[in-house]
Amino acid sequence: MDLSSIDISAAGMRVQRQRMDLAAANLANVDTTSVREESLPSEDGRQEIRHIPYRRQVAAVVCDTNGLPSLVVTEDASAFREEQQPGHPHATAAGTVYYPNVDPMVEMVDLISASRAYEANLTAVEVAKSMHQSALRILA
Amino acid sequence: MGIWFDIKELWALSDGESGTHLAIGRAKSDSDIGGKMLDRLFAGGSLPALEAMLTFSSERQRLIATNIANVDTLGYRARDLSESDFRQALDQAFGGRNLPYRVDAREAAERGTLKPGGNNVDLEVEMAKMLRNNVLHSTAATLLAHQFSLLREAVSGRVNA
Repeated sequence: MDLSSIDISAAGMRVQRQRMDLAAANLANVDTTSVREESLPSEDGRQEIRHIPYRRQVAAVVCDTNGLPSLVVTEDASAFREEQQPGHPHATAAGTVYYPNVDPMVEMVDLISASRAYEANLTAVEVAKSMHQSALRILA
Repeated sequence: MGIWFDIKELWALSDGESGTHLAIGRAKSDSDIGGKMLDRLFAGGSLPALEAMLTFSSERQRLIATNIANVDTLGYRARDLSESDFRQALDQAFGGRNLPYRVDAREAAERGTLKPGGNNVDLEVEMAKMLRNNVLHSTAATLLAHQFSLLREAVSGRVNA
């Protein structure tokens, strides 16, 4: 399958925008302490309803058979941040609140690198456009 | 008839694989007189070389765009067209030899540093390559336009203002 360079750059831009979306979602949920509830054994061995915080989404870019990049989203399996806040509505019986494993610094770095890569793809589109135009001017 | 045959052949050449055929020597020696005259018009002088430059630079732009799009792809290695292959093709074009020449995409000659994830695309190198390639393309396009305007003047018999 033959793809024009503009299609390829568009695929690159889509992937970078998805990366930015993901970083934005992670940043927006940096303090989300409950996305669902689960029944888990507590510190003293009894079952208790535990609030599960937001888990950080990780983006991995892979290459398909046409050479186009596409995004694979997985969850970051690292441990949640723990804080002692007994009065918190999502605290366990022992007073622990689990916070998402999101590091705002990491997300900001991801945002910047994605936005730079997006601009690079955009420049590639502009160069391809000017090449098409100069090829058309041969006829003029 | 000769021209149409060549265009069909060009379509077939541009189809599919990752490499590119430079359409040097597309004008085949045709037995009819009209074909021979067109051969002399279009296959002589700098036209085949300029055509090769255009094909090379647009195919190269495609590869550079692929590299830039895959700047964060796990395990991706930058690819490029070989400049020495292209130089050989140009030599053949200037030598007036009518051979379709093939330039294959391969891993880029300038190896960038390997980033985490096994990717070696160097964004700065790709941008610089893209701009140089753009200049090559616009040079070829301008020269080609000039060649055609010269041909047009010769055919019409008067100098355009």
